[in-house]
Amino acid sequence: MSPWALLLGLLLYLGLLFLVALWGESRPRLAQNPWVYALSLAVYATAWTFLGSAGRAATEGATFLPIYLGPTLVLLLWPWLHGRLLALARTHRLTSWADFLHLRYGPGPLAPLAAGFLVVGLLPYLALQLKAIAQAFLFLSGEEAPLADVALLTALLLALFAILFGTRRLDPSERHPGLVLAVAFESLVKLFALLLVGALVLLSLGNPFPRAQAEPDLHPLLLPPEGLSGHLAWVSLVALSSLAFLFLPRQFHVAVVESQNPRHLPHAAWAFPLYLLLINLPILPLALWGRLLLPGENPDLYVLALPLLAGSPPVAFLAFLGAVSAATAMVVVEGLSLSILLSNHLLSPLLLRRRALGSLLLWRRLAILLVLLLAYLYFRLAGEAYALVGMGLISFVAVAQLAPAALLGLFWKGATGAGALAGFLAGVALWAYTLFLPALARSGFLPPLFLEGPHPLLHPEGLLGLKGLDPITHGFLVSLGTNLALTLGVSLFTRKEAPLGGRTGEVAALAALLERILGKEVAEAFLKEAEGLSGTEAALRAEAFLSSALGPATARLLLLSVTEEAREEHKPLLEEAARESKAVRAYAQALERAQAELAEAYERLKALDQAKDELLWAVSHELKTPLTAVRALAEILATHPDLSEEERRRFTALLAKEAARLSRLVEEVLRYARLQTGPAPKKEPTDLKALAEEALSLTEPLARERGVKLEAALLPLQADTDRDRVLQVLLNLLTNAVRHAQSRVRLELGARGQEALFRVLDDGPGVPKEARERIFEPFQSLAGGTGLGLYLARRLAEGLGGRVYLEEGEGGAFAFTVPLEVNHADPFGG
Amino acid sequence: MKEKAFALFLLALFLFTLPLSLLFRGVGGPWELPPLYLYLFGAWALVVLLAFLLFRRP
Repeated sequence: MSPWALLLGLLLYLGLLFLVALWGESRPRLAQNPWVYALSLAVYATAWTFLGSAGRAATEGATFLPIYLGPTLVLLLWPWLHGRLLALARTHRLTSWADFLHLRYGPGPLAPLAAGFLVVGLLPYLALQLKAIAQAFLFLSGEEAPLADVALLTALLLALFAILFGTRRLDPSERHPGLVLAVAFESLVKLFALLLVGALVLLSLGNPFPRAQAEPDLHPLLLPPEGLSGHLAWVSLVALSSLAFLFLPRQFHVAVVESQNPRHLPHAAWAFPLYLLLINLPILPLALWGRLLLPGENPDLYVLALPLLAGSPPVAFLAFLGAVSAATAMVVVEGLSLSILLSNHLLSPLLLRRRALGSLLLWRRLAILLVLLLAYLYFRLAGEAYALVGMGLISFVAVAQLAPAALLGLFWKGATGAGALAGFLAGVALWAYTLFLPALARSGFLPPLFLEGPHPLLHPEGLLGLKGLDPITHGFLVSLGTNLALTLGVSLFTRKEAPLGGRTGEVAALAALLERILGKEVAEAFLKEAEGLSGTEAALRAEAFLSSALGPATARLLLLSVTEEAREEHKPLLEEAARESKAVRAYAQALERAQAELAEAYERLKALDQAKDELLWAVSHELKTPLTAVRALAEILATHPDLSEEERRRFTALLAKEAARLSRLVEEVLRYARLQTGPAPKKEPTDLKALAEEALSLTEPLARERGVKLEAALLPLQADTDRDRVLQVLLNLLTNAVRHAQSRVRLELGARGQEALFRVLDDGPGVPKEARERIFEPFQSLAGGTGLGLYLARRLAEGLGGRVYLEEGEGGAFAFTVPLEVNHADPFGG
Repeated sequence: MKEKAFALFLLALFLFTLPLSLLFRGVGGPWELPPLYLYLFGAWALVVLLAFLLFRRP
């Protein structure tokens, strides 16, 4: 292909990427999609995946797969790991694992050391991406040189991209929807390109497996690693890639900092492993065809060479764009996250000392450029040397050194700053001794004698006489094992560390500081969050805002001017109070609730007592009238034997009437007494329609006697309730209605919400306005009854969890409700 | 959810790290495909499917 056409294609593709990012910036909602989140995680798959996996499969066999099995495992643990991390990151506005180490272990050398180490450890990995693009470009254009020029141009363009879409504002914890959308787009391009290359090669060249099985030289590629050392290497690679996926700065950036919604995690937990599975499907066939048909070719270029061999230069160009996509996504996000690490933990404290903090955004942009130029420089210096080729996995082991301090810090309260620092330093030292320096020795930057070590027990690739392990497995196990042991051991011996000093400050002063450093918008956001917080809590929130923009160390220093240390002698008390304040608040609230309930119950009791007194008075009063009449009539009959027969009959009839009234009164009072002391309602499944029909038939004789017609409109309904009590209420209401009706009484039954509603309507004069309020009080009769019927009906209904009330309108209209799902059964309705 | 996710993690860990060299000694298998890769991609697909069934409704 013509180099100019290829360069034009490359520039057009990068231009398209700019457009996608711009589109994402103008429509931030596009990035708020679980698929975009899952695809953005695929920044894990770099040019090393796109070109290098086939190369590794062609030389090492199945060991290209553990690099992708590890992330699958880690994502299954998201309910523990990522969920917790996201919550922490949101509260404290974390931008990297180094921020977390500072938060967890306090100020000290650990976080800046980790930041610096990550930048150094990942430069070669960045260089690898630049080299991949340049190498692919030269391969397709058929040129030999100048390799470096294409790499430099690419580095500068990608730096510009990262600066434009990653550093628009000072706060790096702010999300970048354009960048995320561009990364997701690139993930789609590289997946599509690799699947297309695989499909083309399989369709045009056929199935490579039968031919590979016929070639004994290729058998090792089809079999698992042999022996204990092979198995150990396999398991180590799975563990190493798990940790790398978790601790690579670019992964933290896309998974945590750019996370729009924690609910995207469950989606990513299956979608991203599916992505990795799909992108790896064509790798082995490509590797085998490469070995079979291109024996002299660089295995890392099989993905580009095979489409050309199959006679399809456009697919080869698409494969080139796939490799460019894989490399650019990684370089942009890794460059951005490393620049944040640099600026937050190394640059900010220096700028603060020189009173030049205002230029931090400029410095962060320069840091991106610096990181990419350093990566380019590393590429120029290391060139084709071993150090560059082997640096992918060596960088993975470097990143894994954060794991003991971070994971133990996340889940174990006993981890201390001293333990984390000791483990990290030992891990880094062993990483350098067992992996980094031997790689430099193999590249010619150190004398070859270094590979022998000063003593047989100190052999860099076989410490303590270990033999048979490959350098990566050896370096990983030795450095991480020592790191973990020291983190645990030193933590156990330094557990009584002094607690960190808390600071307190005025909200207004803190807001003024934030406005001065980060601008008015941030100060306003802080004021909203700080509403109702104590001085200590407000200082912590302000520190989180400053920390996300300037780094935790600088944030702490800036806060010194507007806050003061919580007084030393009060510290234990304050800490204790802070720990217990939540519990105390909850306890106090529960107490208040209980007190209110108690007061309410007391008032109810008082009202009941008063009602009882009133009832006793009313009963006595009501009984007195017929009793007096009975006595007077009896005396008249006894003392006047000369009364005429007619008068005697009249007095006897009056006597019988008053006695009957007396009897009814006593009966109602007894019913009331039974209600007060009787058993709780017996709930059972009850057919309300059948019950209503029974009540109508029982009322029928009285209605016939009075010439009142009974009508019904009943829907079939079932309820779990006390059958006898419902019948009693209905009888009370119906009898009452029949007494007042002129010609008809109507009973309706239907459902309303979660209640069954009975309505008893009559065409009588209705209840006068002045009597409506006291109609349910005892002995308030409008028709000469005992006046206890409605009172009893209401009490019975309340005992069933329902209500009886008088509806507005002409005539008498009483409504009675019964819950369809009764949960409470207070026999006295309250 | 947490317990089920952890159980799935343990299953995946077992499937991905068991001693493969003891199980897959031949280069030919069904449909002329290498049994090692059939197993690895099959186990991987199974884990993805189980994760989908477990996590699709958070």
